[in-house]
Amino acid sequence: MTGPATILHVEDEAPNRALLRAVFARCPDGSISGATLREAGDLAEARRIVAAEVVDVVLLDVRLPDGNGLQLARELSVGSSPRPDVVVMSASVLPAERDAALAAGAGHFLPKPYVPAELTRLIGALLERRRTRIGPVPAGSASRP
Amino acid sequence: MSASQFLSFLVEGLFAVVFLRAAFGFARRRDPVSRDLALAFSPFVGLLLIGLWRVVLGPPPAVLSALSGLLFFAQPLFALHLVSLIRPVPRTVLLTATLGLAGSIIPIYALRGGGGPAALAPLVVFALVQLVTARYLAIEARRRRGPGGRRMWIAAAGTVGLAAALLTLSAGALGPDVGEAARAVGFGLALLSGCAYLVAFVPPMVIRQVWQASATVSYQEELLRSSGSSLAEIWGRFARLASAMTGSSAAIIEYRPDGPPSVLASDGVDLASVPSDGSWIRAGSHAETRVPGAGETPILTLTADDPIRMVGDAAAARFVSVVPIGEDGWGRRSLVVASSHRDLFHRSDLELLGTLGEQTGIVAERRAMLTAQENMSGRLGETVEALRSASRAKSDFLASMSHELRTPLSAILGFSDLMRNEASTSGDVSVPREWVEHIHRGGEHLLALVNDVLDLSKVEAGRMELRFESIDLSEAVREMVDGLRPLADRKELSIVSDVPSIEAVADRGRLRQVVYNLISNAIKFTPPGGQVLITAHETDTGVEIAVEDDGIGIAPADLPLIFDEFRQVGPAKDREGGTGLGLALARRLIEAHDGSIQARSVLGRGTTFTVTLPRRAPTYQAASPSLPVTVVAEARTSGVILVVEDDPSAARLLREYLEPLGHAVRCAADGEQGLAMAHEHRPIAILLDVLLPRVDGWEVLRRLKADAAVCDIPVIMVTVVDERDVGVALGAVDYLVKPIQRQALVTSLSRLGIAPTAVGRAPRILAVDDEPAALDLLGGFLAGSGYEVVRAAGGREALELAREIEVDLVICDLVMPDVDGFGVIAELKSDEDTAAIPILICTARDLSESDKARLHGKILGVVSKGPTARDGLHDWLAQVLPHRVAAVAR
Repeated sequence: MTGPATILHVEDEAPNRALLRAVFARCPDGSISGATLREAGDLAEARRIVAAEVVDVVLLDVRLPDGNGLQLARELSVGSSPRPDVVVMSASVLPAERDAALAAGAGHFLPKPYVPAELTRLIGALLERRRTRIGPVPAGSASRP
Repeated sequence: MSASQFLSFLVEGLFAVVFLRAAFGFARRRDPVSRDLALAFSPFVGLLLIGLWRVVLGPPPAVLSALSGLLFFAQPLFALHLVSLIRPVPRTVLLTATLGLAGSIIPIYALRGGGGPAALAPLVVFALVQLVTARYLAIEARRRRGPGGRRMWIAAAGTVGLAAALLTLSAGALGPDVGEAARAVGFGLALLSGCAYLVAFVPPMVIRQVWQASATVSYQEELLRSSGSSLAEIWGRFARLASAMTGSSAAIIEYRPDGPPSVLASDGVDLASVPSDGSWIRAGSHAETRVPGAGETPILTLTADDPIRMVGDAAAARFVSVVPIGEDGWGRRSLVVASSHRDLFHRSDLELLGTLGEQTGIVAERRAMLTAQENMSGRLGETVEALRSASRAKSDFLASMSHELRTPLSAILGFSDLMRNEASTSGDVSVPREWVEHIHRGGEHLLALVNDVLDLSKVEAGRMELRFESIDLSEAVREMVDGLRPLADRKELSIVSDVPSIEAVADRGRLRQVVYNLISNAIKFTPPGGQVLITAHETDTGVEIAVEDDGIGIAPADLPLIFDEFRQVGPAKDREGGTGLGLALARRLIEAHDGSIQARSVLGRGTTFTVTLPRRAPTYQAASPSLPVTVVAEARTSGVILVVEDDPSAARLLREYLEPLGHAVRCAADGEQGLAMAHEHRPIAILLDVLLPRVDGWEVLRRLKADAAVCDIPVIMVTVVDERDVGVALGAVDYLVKPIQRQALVTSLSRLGIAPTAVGRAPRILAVDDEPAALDLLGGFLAGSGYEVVRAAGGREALELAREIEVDLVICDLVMPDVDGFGVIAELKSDEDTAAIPILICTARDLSESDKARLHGKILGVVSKGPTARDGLHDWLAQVLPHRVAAVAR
């Protein structure tokens, strides 16, 4: 991977999008603060962006106005490579919902509200792995129930 | 004695046994069946006696022989008559038989002895009539089941045998060559016939038991086979058995518990024609109640004069029998059989039916128990399913709840985390304003959620306390619209309220919450430039309030979902700010009012929500002050106060209280005088004692209120017993309990707008609050209004001050560290010196219903701290200390 990474944030709540923007902007990790952040408020927009651009990481909300975010996770997991890493970020945090997210092909599940530092650490690790193609990022390292 | 003589004695003896049995029966019961049976067998007794006479005393007198012969030839008629009792026999048959027999006998008696073939004629007729009788018996026997039927078959066989015996014997008279053989066969047949009659009518115990056992066994088998059938089927089977065994036209199984009697099953009668009052049988003059067993109490007492009703009508019955067939813990069951004719063997048949009925009862009870068990397990299953679904719903709710709570928390925690990590310069952090906004909005959202969830759980748990009061809708809606107008202006929407001044009875706060929610939803979902229209009208059953918008509308598929918790539909950008509980809560709240809420919508055209509230009586009088005071607009500062009081010392005390306040006091010693003086002086108020000589205070109050000339004068009732509700209901404006405290009297009068005209000093207000800021604020409100404000920084200090100095009003906080507001109130009220000081509560706390109950009757009212405190305080002061109102700086 060369150049700045592209991160797609799929989230219908405007404050949450603003928060992520602010978190990224203040992240000391240059690969994150320098990454291209794309935002989508619903699934349709997210699909358009994924189809048109190379996306490295998708940060995916579950309850979206036009459907379930996990549907997009499923589509991405069977899509052509290079597949983006999918991090499901949801305020629905019951074990069953977490399991459903991982079963849908998401690599990681981050419960909301999240600690910004944990998110940036996870994304940093994901981007680092994509750069070097070595070893997986331990699943759940940035998750807490 | 010849062999043939012996044989005839034997045969006649057998018949005589049947006769004796029947004769005894008749002697005991006087019933026609026994009578006819005895008659039918009496000729054989006659023959037996004549024969014995001949053997012992020689030839009997001719008259006796002739009579005995005549009786003998009448026997078939007796038998036929007996049969006509138990089944229909055409009159012509009876007539023909009688004529035939008479016609055949007369020649013999006329010819005096004679012989030869002519003597055979009556015997042939005799035999023919017997055969007819036998045929009838056989027909009847075929209808029957059980021992009765068998006995009838045997009786029919006996009758045939008798006829055959007579014919054979008479054939013997045709010639000596056939004589011996015919005699032998004839006597043999006669013997068989006698035995048959004996078995039929006087069955030996063994045979009887065998019959009963076989009937019981076959019925029990039937019952056991039907163990899976319903109760009605089981009893129906028994009813059918009963009519089949007794040859009855109808059978009813009735059940008489303490409550109204009922029919368990019936046969031969249409249940629909059975009256529900239990009068399914009523005896008439032709009816017989037959209850077997000595000493049995008849189940039904039948009056002799009524015609037989119902069963009788339906079944053309003339005879009704009632047999008890056992009881369960609650009532007695009986079998009622009705028939048009009497029965040959009804006693033994009914006894057997009684036993079988009890067995049926056992089977039926077992069946009922099984059914109950099945029902119970079915209900248990349903309950388990309901619990499961409730538990699922709860889990779903909690999952949604958790999601909804976490969403605003994301913003709060996320942005505050960012703020925490911002570089600080000497402790101060500079952050984008947007972050603070997000945090604040997240907090507000959380608070709204928590409030809605609390309300929802209150409604769910049935703990939502509603105070139904009369509300002027036009005024209430105007308030809401005023509150929401800034929101609408921001979106350039117009809000139009077209609500007439009609009354709705509802909880003011809750109705406001619902309608406010509907209007703000309408504003939210209507694009700029649109319109929100609020209308209301009265219906036959109550009122309807409609909130209509021309906004984005709701898709038909979503419409049924909008009242569910956390179901926000429509585009995401329009959903921001809602908790997802508003409409769910609105529906619950309106349902708690016994009303309903409906939504109609056309996608893209707009939505109309309609709230329907039923008409009802208010349960709660509008708050401040607690009595329906007819407050007079202008303060009355002078005038006469009439005291109606028979006790001079009590009257003097009131005078001493009132005169220093500048009132002129007139006293009346009884009700009549009081009424007269009320007309004469037109007092500005009347203090009316309840216990008065002759006409009591209630009556005086009633007459005052009924008299147009004085009905507008406010009356304060004075008594030793607190019967406030009675007083208020009769039109009193207030109620004072003796001994009257001066301050209570002043307060009561001031509620009427009657102020003291001369007070030596400025009214003193004791302000109690642990927060100095709150005291400052109070002081600010009251500044320059002519009140003297004494500050107390806590409950204890307040109590000390109240005892030391004279205080006209206490304004008290509820939550204080040392002695809280409740404690202050309790202390003040328990001390005679301070009990009458009016108390206002000024609190930031939302009073629960139990708080209100604790405070009820002890305080003047409550003022909420916050932006409305100033106005609330002034309203109260205007009522309590009205003379200074004008001076209060607004």
